[in-house]
Amino acid sequence: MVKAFAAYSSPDAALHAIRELKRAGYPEILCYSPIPYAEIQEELKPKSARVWAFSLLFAACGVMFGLTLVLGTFYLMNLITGGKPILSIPPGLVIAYECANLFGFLGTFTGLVLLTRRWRRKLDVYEERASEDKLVVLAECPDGHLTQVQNLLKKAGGELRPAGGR
Amino acid sequence: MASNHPISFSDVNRDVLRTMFRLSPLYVLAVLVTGGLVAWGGYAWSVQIDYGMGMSGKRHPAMWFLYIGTFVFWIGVSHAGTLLSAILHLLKVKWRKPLYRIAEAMTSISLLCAAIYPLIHLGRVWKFYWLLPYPNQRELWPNYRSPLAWDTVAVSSYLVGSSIFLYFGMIPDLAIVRDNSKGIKRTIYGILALGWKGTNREWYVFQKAYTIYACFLTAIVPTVHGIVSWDFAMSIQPGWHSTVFAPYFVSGAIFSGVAFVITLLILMRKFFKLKHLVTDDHMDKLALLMFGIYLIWFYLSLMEVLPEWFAGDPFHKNVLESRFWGPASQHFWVMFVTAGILPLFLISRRFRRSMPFLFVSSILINLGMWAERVMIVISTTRSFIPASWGDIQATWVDSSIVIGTFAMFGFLMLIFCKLFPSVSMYEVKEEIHESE
Repeated sequence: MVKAFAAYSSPDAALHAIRELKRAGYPEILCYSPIPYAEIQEELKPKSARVWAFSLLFAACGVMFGLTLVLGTFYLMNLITGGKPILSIPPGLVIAYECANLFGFLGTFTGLVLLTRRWRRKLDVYEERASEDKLVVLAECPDGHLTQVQNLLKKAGGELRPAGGR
Repeated sequence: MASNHPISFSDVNRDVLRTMFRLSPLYVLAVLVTGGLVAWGGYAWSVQIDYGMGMSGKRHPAMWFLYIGTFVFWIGVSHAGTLLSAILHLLKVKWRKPLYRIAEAMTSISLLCAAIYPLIHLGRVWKFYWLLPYPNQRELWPNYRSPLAWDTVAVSSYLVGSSIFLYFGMIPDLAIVRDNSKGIKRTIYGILALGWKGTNREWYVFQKAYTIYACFLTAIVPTVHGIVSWDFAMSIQPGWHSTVFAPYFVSGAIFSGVAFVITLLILMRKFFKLKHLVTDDHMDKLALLMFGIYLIWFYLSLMEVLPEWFAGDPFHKNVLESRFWGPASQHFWVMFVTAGILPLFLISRRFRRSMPFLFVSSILINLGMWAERVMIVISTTRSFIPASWGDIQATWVDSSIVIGTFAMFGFLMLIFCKLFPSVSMYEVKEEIHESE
């Protein structure tokens, strides 16, 4: 497989290129852009990201942690203060709520890092102007199809960029 | 990017990146002045540690004074950052985009300023770890029946959450800095950007995660200042034992926080020459938001006072009288004029769009809100038993420490603005794209 790579000045042109590539039977497409474009997101339909699962799981752990912390502390220190029972539930709920949020923060960030494989620092195929004002469309194709894909990208108004295979 | 908008995407990158790294003489002077004041505050703290808490005037009946008042003030200021970055994001308010980065930075830095007050107030600060729940030979544990222990958990959760959120939202912008840097800077920002390339997949996950994160932050904000208010309201102290305290504190927090954001944005517009990105329209809307929050806060302030006055409880009336013409009167009248009356001018569009007026009034509003926090604390000087009444005076030690933390805020903001983009570039680009 090789990669063909072209930069576009407008989201409409990039969208057109993506549609043409899909029509020609090249589904492995990636689009780099300075901002998220709803139309491109819709066209490329990424696999659903289950960030919420990380958030929910961590938040549930937070609730358990908060309750264990408070009730465990009460259990270890049998000291009546303020005339309240040893095992007071309301403080446990307050701490559990705060810990649910704290763990939720950590879970959501973990989800972001894992789901976008953010630990990879190496920028294998990348066009720096994608962080400024260009949209870059990258398509993967079999070795013999490179010229055809490059023609498609060029025809949609793209400036071809050198891109390596893998 | 070809467009009809007067500002292009490249302009946004250029203008925001221009504000980073370059050190003007004025900037260096500001860093030296704030750094010097931080050092002075540090010296005052060392005197307090050396000679004891008496140096800060803490004695019966007011064991809390400037420290706790300023702690509450800083926690309050932090709330506006979350309002602009998380709550308005969930409400899909578009004009927040150029404003929220500085507000988020303000949140994290003001929480840091707040977080050192419990340590300052400890006296024997080297024993701070006794506050943590860990197995120990003394068999002592934090008392989780006390709202002060809840406070620790709430404030530290909020500090962690808001700091991650600040970084999280900056990842695409850090990639822009990386792409426009060379050498060691490129390596450092490359690490910070976590390999961000801006692919459609990355943006998709980023947006989902950002919204979920915003939900968590929105959920924690009212509870943080609510719990801070319970530090007071859970006691039976007249003037504190009030069910309206939590919403009263939260509204006051957001009010003073938005005023703080206005101060910072006006300075940023002026010195970073960003008037075309943070426009008069943005400032107008922010001032209008502040006016709306002011009305809520003013109503809740009245609800805090009038029922107590009407009920006629003598102890509560004593506290109220101490606020009007007793030991807390200076703070009360400062608050009344600067935070109670002055914001009424914001009803006029002319005043909302006048930057000199907004700048001065936002500083005065914060002065008033700080005075309000201290005024609430002074209520302890008028408790149930007149024999235990007393007065309280600030000393050079606690005043210096308070000034030192204000300088610390300024110092850290100055550092932040030079190391990180103070305006969210990708969101300003989104705003430009949406307006086309």
